Amino acid sequence: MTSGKPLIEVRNMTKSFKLPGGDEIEVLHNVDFEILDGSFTIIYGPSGSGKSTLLNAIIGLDEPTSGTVTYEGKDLYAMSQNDRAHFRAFTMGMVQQTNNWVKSLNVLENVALPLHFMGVNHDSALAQAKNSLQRIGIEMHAKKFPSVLSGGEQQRAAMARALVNNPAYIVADEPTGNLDSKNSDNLINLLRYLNTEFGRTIVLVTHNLEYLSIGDKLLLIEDGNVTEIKGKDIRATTTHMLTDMRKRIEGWAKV
Amino acid sequence: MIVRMAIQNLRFKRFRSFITILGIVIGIGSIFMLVSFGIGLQQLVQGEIVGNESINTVDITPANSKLLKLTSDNLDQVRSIAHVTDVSGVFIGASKVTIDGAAADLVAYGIDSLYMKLSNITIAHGDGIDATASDQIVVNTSFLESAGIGDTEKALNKEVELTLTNATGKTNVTKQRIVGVVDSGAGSEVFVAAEVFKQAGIDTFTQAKAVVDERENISDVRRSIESLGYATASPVDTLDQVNEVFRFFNIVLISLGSIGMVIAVLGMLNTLTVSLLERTKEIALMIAIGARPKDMRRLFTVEAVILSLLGGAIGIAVAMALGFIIDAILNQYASGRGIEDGFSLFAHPPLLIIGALLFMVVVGVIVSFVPAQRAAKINPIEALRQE
Repeated sequence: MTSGKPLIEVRNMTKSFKLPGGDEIEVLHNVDFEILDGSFTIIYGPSGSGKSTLLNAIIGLDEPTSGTVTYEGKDLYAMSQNDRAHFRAFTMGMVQQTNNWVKSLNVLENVALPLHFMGVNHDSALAQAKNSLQRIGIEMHAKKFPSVLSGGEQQRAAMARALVNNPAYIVADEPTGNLDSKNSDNLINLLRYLNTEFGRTIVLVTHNLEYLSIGDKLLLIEDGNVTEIKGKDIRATTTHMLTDMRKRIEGWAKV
Repeated sequence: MIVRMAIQNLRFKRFRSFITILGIVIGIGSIFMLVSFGIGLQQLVQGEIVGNESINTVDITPANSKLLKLTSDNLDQVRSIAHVTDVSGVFIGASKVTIDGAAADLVAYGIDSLYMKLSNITIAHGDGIDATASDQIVVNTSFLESAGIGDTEKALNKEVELTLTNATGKTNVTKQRIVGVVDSGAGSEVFVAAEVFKQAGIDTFTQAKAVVDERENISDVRRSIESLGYATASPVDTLDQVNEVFRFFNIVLISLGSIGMVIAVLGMLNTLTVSLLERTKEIALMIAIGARPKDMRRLFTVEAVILSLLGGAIGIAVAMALGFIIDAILNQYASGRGIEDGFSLFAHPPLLIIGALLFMVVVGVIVSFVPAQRAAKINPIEALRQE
């Protein structure tokens, strides 16, 4: 459920990379869209299409070659590197396909990390981290080290970390990539729950067709071009893509 | 938070941290021990030079004794110079001392109480002379040996005859009682009150000592005394030469000790670099979730400072303990050979300890510079992309 207010705006953004030989390759061309406050946006595309590049640009990690990325009207890349880090600490929560942990810290301390970067004192940060783990239902693992948790448990701990700083939006970059279907569904349901019940803005990057229809907006990336699909068109597009996939599967089966 | 995380990281890799700290302990411990040995030895030598004598003294001799004499009036003149607090004259002359019927030619000193205090005349047996008494004599062990007296205790209270000859050739014989024995002097020497020389008609001092209020005034006082026609010398001259030698000696010691320190520093740099490589993804993650690049720089700097400070403190403590043990063993050995005066070869001035600890903080900051900069520049996207 969205308030209608644009949270993130991407205007005329292109992103190029220099290849080792000196040539330049343009990965994203004239990308233009907005993410509304309280919305659930899905970014979909095949491997290597530029999904993660787009995500990194909108969270302030990778400056576009041209164009702007703004958050609540403020140009992210007009800020200094330190200010962008500050922005990420206060505004954003992140879950990735392979979550990295600070190995010397236990689950509780890892979940509390974003709060430390916000300047919250140690005891308060741990208390809030404990609350976050309780909300996700994995507080029993607080004192363990992340490496001993299963993949699903690690993803849930990563969710707890993404939520601990009460962020304005959560980005999930292929969070179900290493999970079985049950854990994947659980994670997606959690994201939906956070969006519908708490109004959190979610940006989900996925290459799972089955999850495309759960969002308010679908950003399809193909060959560096981003197509924005909203509302009822999402279901139609998803159905079309599923049909295409079935045909391809049947085509291979004949061979 | 950064400090807490740094400590956690070091504790997580206990063995690696232990080895790194051990290297620093050996490195800084070696330098500290060598430097404290150099300072201790320097203080020992300075003590031998100066002894009980204040180093704020100027020795005065006539530049040309035929033209200028050191009389009591002249000494008063010296006493009136600014920054001179007192002056003491000494008579030095050839004399004959007869003991148990045997006579010996030797050097006699006529001194007052101030001269005794300033000249490091250490009584080995018995007492010093009462400068107001003119029948007491202190002899040295060389004299007793030449007189065939092996037991210095038996020499005390013996009566001797002292024969002095003045400038006119007239001799004066006085009876003196041996009240003390000193170890100083290569040849036979005796010490009596200045009054004994005066009674013999000798009224010109051979040398004098002027006491100066502050060390920094010694040069001015010497210039003033020399302008009166006297030659001057000061223990400060010898001390300065000794200090110059020890400055070079300490540089050599520090250079030798630095070899261990360089190895320790290289070890620390290796540890930090390996740690950085191992934790690239961790650092990238932290930057991605809100750590500033300068936080990551600080993290590595704090880790390095903790390693170097801890290693430094332990190294200094071990070096001090070893110094105390060596001193105790040497003093025990010396005591067994009749040397009762204790000595210390190792000095641990507080400034040296504080300086060494501060040095280790600086070393930590410098060594961490490159790894810290690299940590701050980690590209989170590339790092998190690596599998």
